[in-house]
Amino acid sequence: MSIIEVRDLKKVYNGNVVALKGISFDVERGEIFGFLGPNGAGKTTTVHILCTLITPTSGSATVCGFDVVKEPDEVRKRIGFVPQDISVDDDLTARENLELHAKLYHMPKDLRKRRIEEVLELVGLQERADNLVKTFSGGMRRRLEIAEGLLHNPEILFLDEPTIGLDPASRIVIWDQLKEMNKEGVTIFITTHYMDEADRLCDQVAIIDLGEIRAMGKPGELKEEVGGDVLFLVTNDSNKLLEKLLSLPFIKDAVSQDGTLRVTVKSGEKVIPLIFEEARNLGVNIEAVSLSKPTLDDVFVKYTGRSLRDEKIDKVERFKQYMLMKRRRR
Amino acid sequence: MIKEAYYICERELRHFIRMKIQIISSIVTPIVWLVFFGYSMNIMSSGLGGINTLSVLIGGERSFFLYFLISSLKLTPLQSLVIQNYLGISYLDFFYSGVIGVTVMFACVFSGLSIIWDKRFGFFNKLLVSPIPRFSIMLGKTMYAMIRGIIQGAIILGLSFLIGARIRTGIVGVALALIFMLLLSLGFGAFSMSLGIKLADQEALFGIVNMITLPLFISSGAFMPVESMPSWLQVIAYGNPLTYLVDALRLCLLGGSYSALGLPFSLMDVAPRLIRDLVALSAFTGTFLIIGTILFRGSVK
Repeated sequence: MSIIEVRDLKKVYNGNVVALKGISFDVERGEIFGFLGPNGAGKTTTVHILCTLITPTSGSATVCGFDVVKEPDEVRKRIGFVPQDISVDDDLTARENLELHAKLYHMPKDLRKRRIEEVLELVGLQERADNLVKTFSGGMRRRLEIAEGLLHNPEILFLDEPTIGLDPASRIVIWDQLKEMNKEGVTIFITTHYMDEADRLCDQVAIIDLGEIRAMGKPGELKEEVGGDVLFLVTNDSNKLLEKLLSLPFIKDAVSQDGTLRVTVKSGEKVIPLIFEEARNLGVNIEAVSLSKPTLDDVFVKYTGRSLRDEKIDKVERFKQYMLMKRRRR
Repeated sequence: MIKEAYYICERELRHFIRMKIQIISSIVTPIVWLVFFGYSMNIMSSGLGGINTLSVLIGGERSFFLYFLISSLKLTPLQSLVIQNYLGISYLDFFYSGVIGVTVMFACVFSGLSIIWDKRFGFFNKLLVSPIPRFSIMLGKTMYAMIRGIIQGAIILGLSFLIGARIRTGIVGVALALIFMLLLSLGFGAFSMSLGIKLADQEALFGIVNMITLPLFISSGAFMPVESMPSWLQVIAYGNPLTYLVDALRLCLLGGSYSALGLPFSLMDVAPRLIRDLVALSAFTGTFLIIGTILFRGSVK
């Protein structure tokens, strides 16, 4: 049985704002599942429903075999939740944050102590454990947040935009840690609007836009559907090579643009040596070659007609304002 | 549920301990009132006679009688000074119970802010995702308000004593006073939580609380006896929960004052009026505990 089963899930806010138009998907135990989409797509709404924070308008969802509406407490015991806004307590130390969390999950004292050390080590915060969180950087807060989500050994960890507003180095640290946890058997459900994040991290990706799932599958498969890799070749006799290429089975498409050959193939890396071999046989000299791989952004454009890139600025801006507000707190 | 509430309360207490400035200001402000106001009114009431009746009226049916007696006599300032000295009650004695009451109110009435902060910063959601009884969140935070109210009230009581205010009833009176503080702390805590649950931003709570606390503390009888207020203000005063706390504190702490007059006047004598205060405060506290519970259950699935 799948660890998450969502069937025709709908959410309407205040009677007229439709956040989810009826989505269905499954998440298998042990995978990293990515929910990819722009702001307002319904990602957070979905996570909040699965984490029992809000109830759906219609449809059903089960997590670990329990209905999120009918048996919320059973779901709560089995999940970890890392919200989009950093919500660890600034005025407590990292350890105190974890202590409180562990107590709320009714962990006995000796287990609590051991497990806190474990998660601190996992996220690399042992040395700062007794410092107030307000002295932490954004990346450290995120890691503490993740440590908290993992503390009670959940079967599945939900992360809502876990790397938002972080610098590239911090993001990579977090990705590595998430992969590490996943290896230890934790199923991970992550929402993101970063293409590279979904691409590098996830086993399965669902692309969501305006409350509907537009595409779902492995990142590699989704990218293949867009049309595959594109090779650009500069040669001394493009027409001769073009003729030959069009007859080859592994070439999907080839055109000549201003003397440059634009060749669409399934897997660029494997095809390049073959093309060089053909060219040599024909006596054609290849002067330059470049390979362009499709990204999930291309996938997104294909299924939604829009690019995700436009969304980024606004979201990072929001995060900055949020951090400013947090510093002004109290 | 109690256990989880305690964990949540513990977190709030840690916050409180770390906010040094808030601790200092919550102690300094009442002291400024006590010293600046208490002493200067003392001179006014004994020297000018304009506010002479202020210092006379303290608790009990008999003191009502005394008050009316004295005010109907239209005493000269000198005569009222004599009576005051005879009664042995200074304005400071009269005033410090009021300051304690107001301190307790201010200690609790902003406690709903923490719910708003938690909602804004997602901590509230994290509590809701954890497998704890929903209501323990509100209970824990109200418990914190209660503890804070009683601690600050007790500190001001101790400090009043140190600067010369008199406690005339002994340990039983002080214990009773603490119970009354606890009761109203709970009430104001629940009141503030009700606002915190409903409101989305802290400015709104500040606005509402500031708007109501000023009339509450002016009409509470902390500065002047309710009986000396204009009748329209008395109507407000008797609808004000703080009035009953201030009155109860005065009865508990000064209940025995009148024995100096040769009138046997002890805690037992003021018992009926203390019971009235207890009923009024319980009604207020109970109402807001119920309202808070309903609002909380309504807003949290």
